[in-house]
Amino acid sequence: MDAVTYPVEYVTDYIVENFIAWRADYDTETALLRKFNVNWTPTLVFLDKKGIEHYRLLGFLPPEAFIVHLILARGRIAFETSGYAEAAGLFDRIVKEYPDSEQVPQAIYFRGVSRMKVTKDDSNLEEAAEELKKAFPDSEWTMRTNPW
Amino acid sequence: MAKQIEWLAGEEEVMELANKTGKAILLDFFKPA
Repeated sequence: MDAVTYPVEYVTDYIVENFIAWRADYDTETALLRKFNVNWTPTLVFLDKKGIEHYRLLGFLPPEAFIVHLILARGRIAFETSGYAEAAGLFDRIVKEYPDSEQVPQAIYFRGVSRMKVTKDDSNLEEAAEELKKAFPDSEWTMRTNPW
Repeated sequence: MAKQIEWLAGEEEVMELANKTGKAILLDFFKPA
């Protein structure tokens, strides 16, 4: 991550603008390893401002994949802390700006749920399910919309 | 001038800054080169 991903300008900028960056040495920070149940590196844990975990990544990712996970992590944090309008905007950004990303089906799913939470209108779920069935018929995220 | 990631090491400092700014936290467990 240090050699390839973090130095890329758009990754650096996104982290600086949106996160407090915290590093823990895998070889010495045993209390933190235990606290967050970490047993491999690199492991990246995304926490809200109160220190509660909402998302994690394990293993190396190149910058073009990592940037999407940074946005997704912010979206999941916003979603799980009831910031549904902010979450919908972040998931929408993934769908529109990174259409080739593997994370797009997940983003469509959570964008639909976030929009429904904002509007209380179930048609947002139906629209997400239709979009997923059409564009990603084999995705697990599409299967998750079956009850909708 | 290009921005640089300022990695913090102390949990107390991280939590104080996160509370102050409202920003999320990216905690990277890394193996030093």
